[in-house]
Amino acid sequence: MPNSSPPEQLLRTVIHATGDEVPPIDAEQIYQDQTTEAEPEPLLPAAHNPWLTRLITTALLIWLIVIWAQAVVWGWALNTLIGLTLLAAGSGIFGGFLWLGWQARRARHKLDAITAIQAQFLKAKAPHAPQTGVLNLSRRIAQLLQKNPQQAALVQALSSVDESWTYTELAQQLEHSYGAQDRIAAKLIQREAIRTGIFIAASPYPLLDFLLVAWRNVAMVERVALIYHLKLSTPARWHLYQMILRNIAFTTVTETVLDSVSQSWLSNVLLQVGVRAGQGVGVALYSVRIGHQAMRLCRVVPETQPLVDRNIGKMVIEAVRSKTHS
Amino acid sequence: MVYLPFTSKIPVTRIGITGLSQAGKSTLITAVINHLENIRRGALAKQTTLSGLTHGHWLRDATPAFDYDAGLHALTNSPPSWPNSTTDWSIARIELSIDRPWYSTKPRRRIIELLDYPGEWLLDLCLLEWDYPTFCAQVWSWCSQAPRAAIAADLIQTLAAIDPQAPVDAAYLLELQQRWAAFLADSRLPPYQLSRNLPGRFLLNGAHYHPEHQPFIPLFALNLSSGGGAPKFPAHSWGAVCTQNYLAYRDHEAKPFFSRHFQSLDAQVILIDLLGAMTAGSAALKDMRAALEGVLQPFTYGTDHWLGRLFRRKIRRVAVCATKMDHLLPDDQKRLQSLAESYLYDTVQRLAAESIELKVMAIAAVQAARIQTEANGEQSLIGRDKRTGQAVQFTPPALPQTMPHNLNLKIGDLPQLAPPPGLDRAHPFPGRRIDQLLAFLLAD
Ligand SMILES: Nc1nc2c(ncn2[C@@H]2O[C@H](COP(=O)(O)OP(=O)(O)OP(=O)(O)O)[C@@H](O)[C@H]2O)c(=O)[nH]1
Ligand SMILES: [Mg+2]
Repeated sequence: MPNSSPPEQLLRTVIHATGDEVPPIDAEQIYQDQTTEAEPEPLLPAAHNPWLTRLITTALLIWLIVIWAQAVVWGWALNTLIGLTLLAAGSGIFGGFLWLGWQARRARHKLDAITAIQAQFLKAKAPHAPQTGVLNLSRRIAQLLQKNPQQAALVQALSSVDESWTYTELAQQLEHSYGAQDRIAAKLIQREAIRTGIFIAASPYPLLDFLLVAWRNVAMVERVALIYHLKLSTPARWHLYQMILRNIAFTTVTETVLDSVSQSWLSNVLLQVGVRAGQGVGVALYSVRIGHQAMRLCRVVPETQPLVDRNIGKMVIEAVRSKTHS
Repeated sequence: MVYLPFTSKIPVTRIGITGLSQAGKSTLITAVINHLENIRRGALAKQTTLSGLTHGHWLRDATPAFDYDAGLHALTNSPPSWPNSTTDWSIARIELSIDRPWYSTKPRRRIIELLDYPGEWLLDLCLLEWDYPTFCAQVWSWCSQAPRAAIAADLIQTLAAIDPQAPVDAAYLLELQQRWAAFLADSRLPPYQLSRNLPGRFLLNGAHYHPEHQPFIPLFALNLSSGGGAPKFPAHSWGAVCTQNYLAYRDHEAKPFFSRHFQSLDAQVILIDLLGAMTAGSAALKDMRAALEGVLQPFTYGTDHWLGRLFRRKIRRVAVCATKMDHLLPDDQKRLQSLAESYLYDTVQRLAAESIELKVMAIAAVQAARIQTEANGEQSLIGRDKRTGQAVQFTPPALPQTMPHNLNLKIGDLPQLAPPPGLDRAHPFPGRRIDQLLAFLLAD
């Protein structure tokens, strides 16, 4: 047979044994092989059915409405004006709650949208991932951000995106526009972390102060979100804290090692400065981590270069050490 | 999908299991029914998107019903064997119960329909667009080259020598048709394993089609001497009879099958036996890719085209799956997926540009081998050879990360495995990624 094409690349199978020399196959083993490959377990258990909570809330709501209706009727019987006032007050309060709830939902949805966009960027980074849909994504980002006048520069930058862009280019463009905010946030985190660290290192009642530290960290997260023009509502806040804690708790080993400072260096420092200052250093490092995660969660692009300089960790330690020694 | 509240109608999701012959369709359907029957056990229970599903039940009432019993019997027999090759189309219906909160108005039941049919018939999809001269020209373009030119040299020469204008010899036509069918059957088998075998019903007739009633063959002389335009043939000549019978085949056999079964599909699973084609070498790989591209063409037509309408009316999700990945070690299983992606890169790109959710993955319906790890960390697979029935221990080759552009790749000596012993209907069969495939297809 005439064949002008180059010879095929031959991938050989190695046959080790056939027939009786082969170890027996048992079904159990095959089932086991499968389970070891199974997906990692989800981090949080799936939300269970909250029917009891729903039942109680519904009952409570109905009860409140009945009471309110009784009050209105009673007021009406007394005087039309009192009835009207009660009616208006009730509707006003109810409407207010609705409005608040709606606001809260919106903020929460914004966070979810950011997570989804980040996930899409990450997905496109996988080898051989299709590079279509960049335009759609950029429109989604623009839509998400455009309601905010302070983000106008970002939206402006997105208007030049067309079908020929790749995900990497889009990510770079966004990174670039986030530059200023990133710097401000990193500064803020550094300052806060140092203050918190010194606070603990110098405090006579460290146990009590941990409460204060928690509060300071919450405030820091809030301010980081504000730098990225995210208005948080209560559910959004909870969700953000939950994600921050989860990210910190489940970082991979390499990430933790790369994070801030190396372990041996840290233990060295702890030996030198003593327990009190050591506690301060630990708390400061924790604040850096919390701030860092908050930053990551507030931006639509996933982190490519470290957002918080790895040296910040060292700088915090240096500062805490020198302040407590003097 | 939009559900009207308080209606008693159970929503039906229709999924087409598409694939060339021997791609693993029937085995996958058997495994899927088995997994859905055991939905609260095994890997499927861990899929969060499917967490509402509580119970699956195979319905025997479809006409004609998929023969799940036969599939189960073959797989759980001792020694176990694979399900038989499919000879006609059938539908598998599975009813799922869904756990919903008490106030929900969404339906609490759902029916999944899986369509199974002989893979040989799928190729006829290309033929729907062709008139008889185009058909001859296409088949000639394949037959005039290696490897087909070598498989049936004298048949091809005989066909090329026939004068389309000459009066037809009915008995000889019938004989040639049988030889053509035999040639198709040959090129389908190892060592060639070619995919573009047309017309598909010559290989597998199905219940109602009788090829001898309206015989036709490709006439290559038509193409050799053609000067464009539809040729005119005198009555009862080779050309006239073949044209007429070809059109009857196209319009009354092939077309009704597709328009009946494909227009109501909600999702498509496209199975490709990439490993099988790789064991046969680059000619088989090229032929299979061309066949798949032809078959997937209709997805890219707009809705102004009847084929485009047929395919695009409802289909929202397409999963392209390389099957039988259990012949590989875990690391290569991941590579098989990226190989599949680069193998079908053109098509995948085009599908991704449409408003279709697309997923490319590698799966194994039934895991047939067990992994053995030596003390020095070397891994090998232990299974039973499908043909000899003997146990075999082997290390499959390490796959490259991407497909070479010229497809010059061949896997040597890879055994074909028989199903594992000890399968049981009451447990989900050990498989790979079946849970992920189902989660993708069944997500709301
Ligand atoms: N190891 C392994 N082999 C498989 C698997 N699925 C299919 N096979 C092999 O592929 C062959 C064909 O499988 P079928 O399910 O009959 O394929 P099909 O697409 O229904 O084929 P037709 O009905 O002829 O169109 C089987 O005989 C097996 O050898 C699998 O999950 N693992
Ligand atoms: Mg079959």
